[in-house]
Amino acid sequence: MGTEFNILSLMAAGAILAGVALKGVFTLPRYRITRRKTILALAVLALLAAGFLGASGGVGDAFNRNLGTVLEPWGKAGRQLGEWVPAHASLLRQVGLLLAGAAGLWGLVKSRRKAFPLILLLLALVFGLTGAVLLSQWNFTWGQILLALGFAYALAAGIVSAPKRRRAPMEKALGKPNIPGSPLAGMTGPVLLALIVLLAFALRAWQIGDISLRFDHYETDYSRQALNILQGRHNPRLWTSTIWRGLGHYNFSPVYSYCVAFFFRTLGVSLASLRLTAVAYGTASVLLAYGIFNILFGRRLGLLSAFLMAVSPLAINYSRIGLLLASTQTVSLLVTFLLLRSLLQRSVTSYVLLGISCAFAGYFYSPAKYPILLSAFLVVLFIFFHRGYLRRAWVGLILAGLVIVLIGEMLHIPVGEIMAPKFAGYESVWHRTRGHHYTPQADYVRGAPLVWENFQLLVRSFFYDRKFNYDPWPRGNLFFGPVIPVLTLLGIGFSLGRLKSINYRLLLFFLAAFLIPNLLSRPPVMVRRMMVSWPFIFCLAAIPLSQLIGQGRRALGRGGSTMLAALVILGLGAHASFNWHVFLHSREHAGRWEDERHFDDYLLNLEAGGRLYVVPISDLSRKTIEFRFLDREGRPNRQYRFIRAEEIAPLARELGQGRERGVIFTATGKASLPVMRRLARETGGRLEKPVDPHGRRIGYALIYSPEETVTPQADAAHPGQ
Amino acid sequence: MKFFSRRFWGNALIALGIALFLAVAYDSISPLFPTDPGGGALTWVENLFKKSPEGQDDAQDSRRPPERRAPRAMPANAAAQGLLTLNVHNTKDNYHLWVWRVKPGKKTGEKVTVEIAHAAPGEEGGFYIIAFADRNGDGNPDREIARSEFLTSEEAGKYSSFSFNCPDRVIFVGCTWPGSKNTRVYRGSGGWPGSDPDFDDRFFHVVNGFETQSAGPAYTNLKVAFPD
Repeated sequence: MGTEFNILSLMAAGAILAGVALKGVFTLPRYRITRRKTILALAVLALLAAGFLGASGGVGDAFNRNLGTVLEPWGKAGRQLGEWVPAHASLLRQVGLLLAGAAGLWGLVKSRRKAFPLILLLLALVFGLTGAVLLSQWNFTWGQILLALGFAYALAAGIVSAPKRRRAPMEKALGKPNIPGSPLAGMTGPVLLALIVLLAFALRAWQIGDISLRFDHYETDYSRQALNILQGRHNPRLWTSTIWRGLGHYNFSPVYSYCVAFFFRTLGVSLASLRLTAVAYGTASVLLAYGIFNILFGRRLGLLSAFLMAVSPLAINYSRIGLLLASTQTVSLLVTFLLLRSLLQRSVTSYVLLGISCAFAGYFYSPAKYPILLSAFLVVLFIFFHRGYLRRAWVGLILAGLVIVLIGEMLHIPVGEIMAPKFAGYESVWHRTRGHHYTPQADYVRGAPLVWENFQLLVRSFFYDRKFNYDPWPRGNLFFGPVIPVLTLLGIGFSLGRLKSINYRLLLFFLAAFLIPNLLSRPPVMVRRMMVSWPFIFCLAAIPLSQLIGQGRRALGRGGSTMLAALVILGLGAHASFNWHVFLHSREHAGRWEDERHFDDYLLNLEAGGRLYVVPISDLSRKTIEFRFLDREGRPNRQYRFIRAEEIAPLARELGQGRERGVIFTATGKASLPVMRRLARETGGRLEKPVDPHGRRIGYALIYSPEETVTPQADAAHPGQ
Repeated sequence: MKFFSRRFWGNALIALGIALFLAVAYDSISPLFPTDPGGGALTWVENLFKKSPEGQDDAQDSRRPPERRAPRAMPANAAAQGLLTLNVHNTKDNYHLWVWRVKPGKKTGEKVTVEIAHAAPGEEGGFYIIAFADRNGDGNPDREIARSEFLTSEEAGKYSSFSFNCPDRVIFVGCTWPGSKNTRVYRGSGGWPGSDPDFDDRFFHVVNGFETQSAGPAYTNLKVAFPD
């Protein structure tokens, strides 16, 4: 980027600023809120930039240290809460019943019929949460009955609370961003959103290099791509591949590669920088979730959904892994957000941006294909079934199409083929036997029970298992916590009761569209492919809480509403604290990737200097070692050599005879302990057998140091004898 | 629209700034994209109306029946080295694996020796010799059974060999190379030369346990022997 670029960029920025000034944005009273929002947005951006710099470790460890003083006690509080709540379950149940009864009676006395929705909602919550407690005690009969009752009451609450007036025009019926007198009107809502975004970033970026310890070679694939780009060796052909992007090895996403390259350039090459790319996407997802639900339901539900997503251990974990996962969720939510803005808010700019997003969505992990398909489907639906839509939106639709064509022509990329590959042409469920082995011939009859099996697995995982670990390829682990599944169920019930409203219809439609196709995958794939549906699950879970505050205001007035809002905030705080504890204190082993990480860490912690020979766990684990040995400029910072197991013995003898410091470190599967012991005795080396925190042996290290040489034993047996 | 209003000129300036910014952005990022103008949206629309699109990728070409073409005449020294083709192909990170099935009846023993020639010296022509078996009996490779160390040669045209034992009746042999590199391989178009070649004409370039993809016909400087 030369001087011309800088001058022209400055001119462009100057023109935009001058235009904004000419419109009076800086001075006119009607832009006061816009000015404040802009200042707030700039402040958040500045804080995020400082946070990225701090989290990358480029300016010391102050970021992790300072944030740790808050986040570590918060996690401990969550752990105590997790122990305290089950121990005092009966007390809590009584207090909850008392509060619900009191609120219901208060509403009946104060406003009679207006209190019915609130009473039904309280009953739904009482039955639903009690059912969840019984289920957690493995009381399936009463647990399921009470859950069903909770669902029925939520449905009734939805039906009773539906507005009876003639339906307002669509765009007026959606979202209530600025109800005068509402506590979230004015700057309160944006300030809360800013705090949620900063919280989401903090939870995703803190100790990014070390939590979790899993680090796989798929992540390093993108670091290699990014380093190639920084060295001027980018591969333009990546843009021409029309196959949906996998998670590594093949079909690298050029968009994601350039993002990683940007983070490497600005923050330096490190594991933290590699993962901060995913953090950026994960944080943006929270913002986009707010945007979507703000359009559909207004600020309160938008904020509640964004908060639930910000503190979800599942969302936090997937946003801290340097793979395409978080970015795919972000792009899908972006397409959905722009689609809703285009359809519901008459925004021509949104159509143009939607066209741009769809043109690039194909460069992400395969679930990003569904929003494109949904966009086309919903646009066609609106054209045929929504009177006046085409008349209103034809300019936007044409512009969106033109933008797509223009991008393809100007950048020479096959946009059409990327946007419209073979949708659902290959789904693994049709290619599996009952024993989950691959067969090339699709069999739809054989696959049907497997779809049912997947569904059962999801339900079990959603309601009962509640397992969490750091591995993104668990066998169907889908941790939403103890409260979210129940609230989601009540949210579905309430939404079904309000099915006449387009926002509830759209919410249920999006949930089904992003959830159901994933049942055609293998269980571990199914969990990560349904990432896009998570925000919709959080929104459904937030509906009972939002309605509690809203109906409380209607039935109990301002005082009652404030009391209920305080209870909801208290509950959310406890939920967030417990969630953070679940993420922070997970002790479940993260599979072979964690083993490899311990191997790499041991190598990195070896004293610098001398010769270093490594027999890696496998050929693929060379990739992570190579990456970890890079300095911040991307150059190898230590001399080492990968060797084969057969080379250990001759090199050990060579090191034993010399006066140079040297280490031979081998994976346990590549050499046996007796052989290594014998070699150490024979050559005068010191044998180390490091173990990881789980007590698993990491490898064997033969260490040769001139100052601590052990005298070789002349009568030691020769290896192999 | 008031032509002399501040709002109009403000919007015009903003639009101008955005247009200038987009132009600068396009100028900066266009070198990162392909230069071949054949990949745009209009080409895609044109292709929709073509009966059989030409110039398909290997990865997409899985239905076309193999065409057997007569191999070109080889220089005498190349033939003496045992090379079947001198055509060097730049893989350009498009695929990282190719394995061919050893024809039924050709595998006569458990010990297998595979030899493959390097198309370039050093890492550029380096590869791992790899072998797969068909354990579920569907005729496609599904289980990796052997892999050599990373093999390189000091000069192009030299063979590297790798031996392993394998009791499987159906095996697939070939090589794989690291991603993100433009590894060079020898690649001849069409079926294997000779009257009774050891390998099928199509090769598999994606084998990941759940999915296989094949392409071809193509051949390379690959030999297999069963010394037992």
